Amino acid sequence: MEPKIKVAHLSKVFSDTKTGIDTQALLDIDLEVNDSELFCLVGPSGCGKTTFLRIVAGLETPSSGAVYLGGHIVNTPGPDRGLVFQEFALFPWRTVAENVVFGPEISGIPSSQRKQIANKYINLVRLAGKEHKYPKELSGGMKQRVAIARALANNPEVLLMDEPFGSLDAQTRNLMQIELLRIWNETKKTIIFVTHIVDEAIYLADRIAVMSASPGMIKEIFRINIKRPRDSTARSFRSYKRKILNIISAEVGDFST
Amino acid sequence: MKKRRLFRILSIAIFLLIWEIAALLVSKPQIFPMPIDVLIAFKVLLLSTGPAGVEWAGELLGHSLISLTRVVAGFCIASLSGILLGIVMGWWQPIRNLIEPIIEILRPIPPLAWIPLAMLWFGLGFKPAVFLIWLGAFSPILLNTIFGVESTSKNLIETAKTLGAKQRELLLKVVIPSAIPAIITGLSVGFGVGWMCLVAAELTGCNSGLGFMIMYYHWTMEPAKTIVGMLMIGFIGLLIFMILKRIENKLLAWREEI
Amino acid sequence: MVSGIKRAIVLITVILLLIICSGVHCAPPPEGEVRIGYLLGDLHHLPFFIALEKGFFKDERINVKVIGPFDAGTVEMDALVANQLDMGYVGTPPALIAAARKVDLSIIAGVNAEGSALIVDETINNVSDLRGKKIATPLPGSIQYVMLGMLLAENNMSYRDLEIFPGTIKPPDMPGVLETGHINGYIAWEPYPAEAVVMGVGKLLVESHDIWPDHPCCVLVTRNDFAEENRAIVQGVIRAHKRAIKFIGENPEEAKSIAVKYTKLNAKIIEEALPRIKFNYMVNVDGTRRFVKEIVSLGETGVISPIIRSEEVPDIDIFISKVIDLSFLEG
Repeated sequence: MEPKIKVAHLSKVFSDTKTGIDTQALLDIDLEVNDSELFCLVGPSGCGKTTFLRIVAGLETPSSGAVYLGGHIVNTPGPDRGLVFQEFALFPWRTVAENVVFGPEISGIPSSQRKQIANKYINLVRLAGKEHKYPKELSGGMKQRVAIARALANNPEVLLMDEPFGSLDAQTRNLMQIELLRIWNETKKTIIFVTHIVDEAIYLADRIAVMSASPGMIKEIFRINIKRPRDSTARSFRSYKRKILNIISAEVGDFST
Repeated sequence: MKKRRLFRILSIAIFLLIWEIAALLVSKPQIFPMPIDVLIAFKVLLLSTGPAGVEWAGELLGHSLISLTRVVAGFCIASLSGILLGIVMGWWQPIRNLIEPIIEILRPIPPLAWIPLAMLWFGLGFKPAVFLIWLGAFSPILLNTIFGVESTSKNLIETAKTLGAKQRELLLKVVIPSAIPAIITGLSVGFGVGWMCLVAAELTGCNSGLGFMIMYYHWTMEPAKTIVGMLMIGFIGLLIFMILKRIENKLLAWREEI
Repeated sequence: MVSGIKRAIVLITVILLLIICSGVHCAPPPEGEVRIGYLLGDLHHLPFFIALEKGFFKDERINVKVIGPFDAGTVEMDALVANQLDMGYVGTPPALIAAARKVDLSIIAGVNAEGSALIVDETINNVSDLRGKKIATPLPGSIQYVMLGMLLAENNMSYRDLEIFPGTIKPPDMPGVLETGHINGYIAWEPYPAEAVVMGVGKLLVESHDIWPDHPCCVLVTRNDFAEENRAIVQGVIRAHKRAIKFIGENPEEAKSIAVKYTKLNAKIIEEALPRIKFNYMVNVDGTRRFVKEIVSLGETGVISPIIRSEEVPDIDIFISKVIDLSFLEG
């Protein structure tokens, strides 16, 4: 079966015009993400995983190599690849419902249909009743759910998530992880999820790519063969965690959790 | 709350007391009137016949109304021109580079200095006065608009792009709404500056308005009436500021409290 | 806390009072020195410029500190009240207004009579053509404004038959505004009528001499308290003033070049304007009295908002005799 996303020999070099120093952010990344897969990218801070995701989203261009979505090259941003930021990035002057229908509004979908779309996805992320609230009235977890609903409202081919729960406290983060799995189950979307928290990656992922820093490279890809819901105290879970942490610490020289 | 009110009344009372004592000590009522003279002048100006067209309003309110129409007119033109140009300049860097130097050179020139040119180009009375008000109000509106456009969050723009927005939608659906708080601040400041330009603006051959009234009673050696005019300018300015603040808070209810 | 605030309030009050009061009281000048004010670009004050240039004040052993120029007569009077000036060359109306406001000053000598004119554009060829036209004048308290009324009355018209711009255009701006066509004419003191003629933007319709012969114009005033303590200085100033006026009659060419130097006006304009100005150290007492009567009456009949109220001058004759002091002239 054709992979949903194919990344071939992707490299990215940043040139600092002031100092003239070139930084190799990503080196020769090859990977494939399958349809409906929940694929995690884990690695220490600064390893280039955010850069990688931004290139897939089309917000940056690679120095060499390419990203293919369903067989076609993608290098500009678009609603086929929904993006969820750590900082939520909700439009503060729009209500929840207005945020969610931003994409459909731009593609010219008439307002009656837009209403249906808004309702569908607001219900999906379990925010019914909050349609007319403004972002400033929402908690962090709620804001992120709006961001997810907004990205999904365009029916993207793949959902890209960049440390989406990074701004939330530990309890909310755990709840949101459970929420994400439920939403993924219902929509069967392909998801690429970037995080530096190994526990989170193991809890969520079908497969995990472990990245190293300077330059950013894929060290190893694990398939997580544990049935969901996963117990972080179970031996199998801890065994994956140990393996992954070993790879990371071998690169960085300290533990990252 | 009650304490703050008490302090306000106290400070005004002390101000009046200082004024009274100083006027008594200096004892030159032709240039330094006493508070009571100002009060009498206030009553006289309220009741005397108003300027042409608003005779019924009395002198003080009549001149105030006329000044208000001029400032509102100048402000409206400044708002339209300032916001439009500000959006264009904030969004397209080459246009900004082209126009900005001209604006930076003209900006520090005080409206007073433009009076001869204003009279040459626009004649006497309403038109040159509105021009001078426009001059005062334009800069803050323009600069705040540019600032608002420029400080649109990069995250919001990138998000919009990933949701399918092209240049036109980015401008209309992200940049401009995001800039509205700054624009409204600019409008508030712009109106205030325009209002303060009244005295200069009405030296362009106007024979009515609060600015004109102040200068007129200066020339006829009636300082108490001049002070009434000055106080009126202050009061109306304050009133308008408070109204604009109310409107601002209503329109921007979605803003995060910082 | 409360006593701290009290103390702060008292302290601020005292400081503010000191600042305000000290600003308005200037220290008196040293002996033999006198501060004299004059008006911007005012050709009528030529005697002052000549006395300065030819050292007539020095000959009287008087050190003159020149204050100004002021751009309006009442502003000069404000400075007089504030003790920034001891004497001043100024128009009769501002001097009278100040006196009506109980400023303690006296008119002690004349400077000139006449020296004003009505300038019009090509659409006006006689006084009746003024009907419906736009005419600028100085403030309603000015002699020029009053004279225009006199001229109109003689021709069975009133201010209401014209569109008047009283005091809204300053005389220095009048020739320029006439050129742009936003007004059809103006009445003002020299050199502004001459400027229009020389520049070719207007023609002279009526001289003030033909409306009110010998009408008062500029005068020399002094603060009464200064004059009391420095009688000798004041008389010295007047002697120099008289000499300067004589000089103008005897040395017209040199007078012209001094005028150019002090007013910064061009020689052609001065040449056009000077013949219309009658320099005279005598005070036109009757003319001054008539002016006060006119001004008060214009205010009472509601033609203008009162400049001098009848309550301020209940008895005009007494007012005139108090404000005009000819004793220094005789000295």
